[in-house]
Amino acid sequence: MSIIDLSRADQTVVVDAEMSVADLQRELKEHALMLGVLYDPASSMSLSQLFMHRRHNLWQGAYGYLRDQVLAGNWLLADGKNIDTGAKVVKSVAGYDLTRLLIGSGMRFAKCNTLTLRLRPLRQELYYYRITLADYLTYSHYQLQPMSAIADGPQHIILASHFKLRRDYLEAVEHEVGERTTLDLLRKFNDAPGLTAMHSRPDSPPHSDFDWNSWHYPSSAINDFALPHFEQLCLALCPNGERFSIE
Amino acid sequence: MKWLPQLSKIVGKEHLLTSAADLLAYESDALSLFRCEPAAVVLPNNQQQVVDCVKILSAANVCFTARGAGTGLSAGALVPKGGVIIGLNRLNNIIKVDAASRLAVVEPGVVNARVSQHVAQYGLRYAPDPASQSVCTIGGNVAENAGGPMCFRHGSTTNHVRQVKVVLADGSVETWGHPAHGNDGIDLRGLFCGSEGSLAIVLEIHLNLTPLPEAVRTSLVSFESIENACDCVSAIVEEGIEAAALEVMDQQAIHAVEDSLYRSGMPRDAGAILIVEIEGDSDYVKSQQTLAEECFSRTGALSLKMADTPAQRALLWKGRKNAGGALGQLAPDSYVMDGVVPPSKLSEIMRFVDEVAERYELPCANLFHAGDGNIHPHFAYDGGDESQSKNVEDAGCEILQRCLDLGGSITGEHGVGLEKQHLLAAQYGVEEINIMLRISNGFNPQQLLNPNRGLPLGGGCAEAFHRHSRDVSR
Repeated sequence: MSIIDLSRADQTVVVDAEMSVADLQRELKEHALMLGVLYDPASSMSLSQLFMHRRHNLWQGAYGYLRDQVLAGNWLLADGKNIDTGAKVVKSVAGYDLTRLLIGSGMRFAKCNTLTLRLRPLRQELYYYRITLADYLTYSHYQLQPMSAIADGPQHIILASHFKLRRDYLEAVEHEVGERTTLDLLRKFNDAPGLTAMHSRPDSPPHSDFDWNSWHYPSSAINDFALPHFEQLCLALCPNGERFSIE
Repeated sequence: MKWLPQLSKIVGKEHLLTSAADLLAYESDALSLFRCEPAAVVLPNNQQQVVDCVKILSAANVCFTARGAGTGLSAGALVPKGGVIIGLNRLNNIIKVDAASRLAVVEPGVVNARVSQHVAQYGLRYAPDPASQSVCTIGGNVAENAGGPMCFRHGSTTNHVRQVKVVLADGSVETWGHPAHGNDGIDLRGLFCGSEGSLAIVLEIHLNLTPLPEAVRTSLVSFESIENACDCVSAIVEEGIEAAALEVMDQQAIHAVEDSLYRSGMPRDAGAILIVEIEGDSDYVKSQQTLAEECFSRTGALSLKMADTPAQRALLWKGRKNAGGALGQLAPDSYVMDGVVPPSKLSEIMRFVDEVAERYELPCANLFHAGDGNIHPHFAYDGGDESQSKNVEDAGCEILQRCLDLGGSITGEHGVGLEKQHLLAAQYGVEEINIMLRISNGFNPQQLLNPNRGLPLGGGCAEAFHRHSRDVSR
């Protein structure tokens, strides 16, 4: 469960899919790189679990959806065959995008052996803001999403950013929402990535007890088996009808 | 052909093209190496008309394909003889913009640049910016998973599509993806983007919008050689500078631009130029620009020209964005290649491109998305000369094979189309290709919808299209 190949020059890494996200980020930090996803540093969640189960990327505003971080993969199909998808470069449109088809499939189509991931330069600074608004709807009227926003209870929005919030954003909030709004620059962290610093310091922001596991798409509400083309795609991957059993 | 009057009834006779003169523009896309005159072109003006046309053609067992502005560079939107092209240009409505959700809902015929122009009033933009963005359409961008200079930082089209509404080959309409986060179960949306119109025809797209940056700094740096420019790109990446775009042009490309209507004051004596764009918070841009300038110095930059205002930036980009047009004026035909290597292999692939061009005695210019390792050698040739045409194809194959040998891909943003079908098997194994073929057959069981496009052809289908523009007898 380790890094198989890391290219700092190309900002890509090939990893065992069972490596934990936190371990990967720790190793990448030594090379001044990071994966563009916010993660729980205390969790042992593997990359496979992160990418295959439709979790939300809390840094989506800056780095895109989780699926956008994956360039290629090696997969085990239910019939025992291994396939390679994608290319180990940041851009490829050769053939159908099987990588995206398999990412987020909850391992119904394939199990992930290795992943090739796009990396980003390590950002040394993170800013956190807490904004108290009347409701989430009020927040949504402002583009206060430089990097990520975490709804921390019904009336608080925590913003994480590599940059200070733009002054015009702050002024817009103060002007429009008036007394109902308070906005604090909570902290400026100097040892990114992620929330490592926040968790390790006593004066961390108020969402340090954040429920990480709740931040994925409501897959329980999605019945993949009832989705159009599910059977058809299963047969395209394993024409003899072999399936993975899903607990 | 009783389906012709049926189509005419749906769209009106003025929007059903059948004369040789009208069809001429539809016999190829921007890759003139492949041509085939369609039997007809139908131009619906709303989604229901597209669906109705598909149902008629499907029932009549007629091949059909969707087409936007025809700016594709891999022969992706051609039909075999007897087939019909469904032109989507008239479906050009921006249906909705939800600035708070950073969402634009558009029809497939909307021109790429129009989206950014329209949403600029909300402080937003649509990030993917193919060189043809002033004419190419979002539907075509989705079909090809188009890229562009800004995709180094922001990603290709698929990264910016949340949801698509499509019509399948049998006329049924489905919605794939999710308007909020683009993910709703199996990622059919992701499978569809870049499928080159072989799975379905797009009717409506939910696009992700990106905030306009607070500050932008664009630099045009000249170097003695293309190797120096590539070394500078590597230095910038190694330094951890997250540039929005890193674009290189060689001397041949510079001269073509400066000799054309698109001249923008690029240094003619430079062996290569590098355009670096940095965007973000003002302080960040300033600090990253300082680091970038250190990289320029370390790697032997000859000159530096900077732009801060939109007008200055537009001038610096003018030459790069129009280089394809300038190069197209050098010979009767041009072949714009599209391969990808890891950025650390750029110098190596450029040396190989030079060697191949020299060996085949082909004039070649290079401009490429260096940050992505996405190369675009331009070969100028005369399609009327059979040996030149063959040389162009052979040279292209050698270069793409070398891209694969270096750990890259046969295409970064132009697609496979008809052009690279024979090379797909060099990138993937038999099992992967068989899966793709089974997926294609599942969605398109009669292979009526853009048949076998982007995948290795079944036996005999290649002959349905003419290679080499001058071979076609009308």
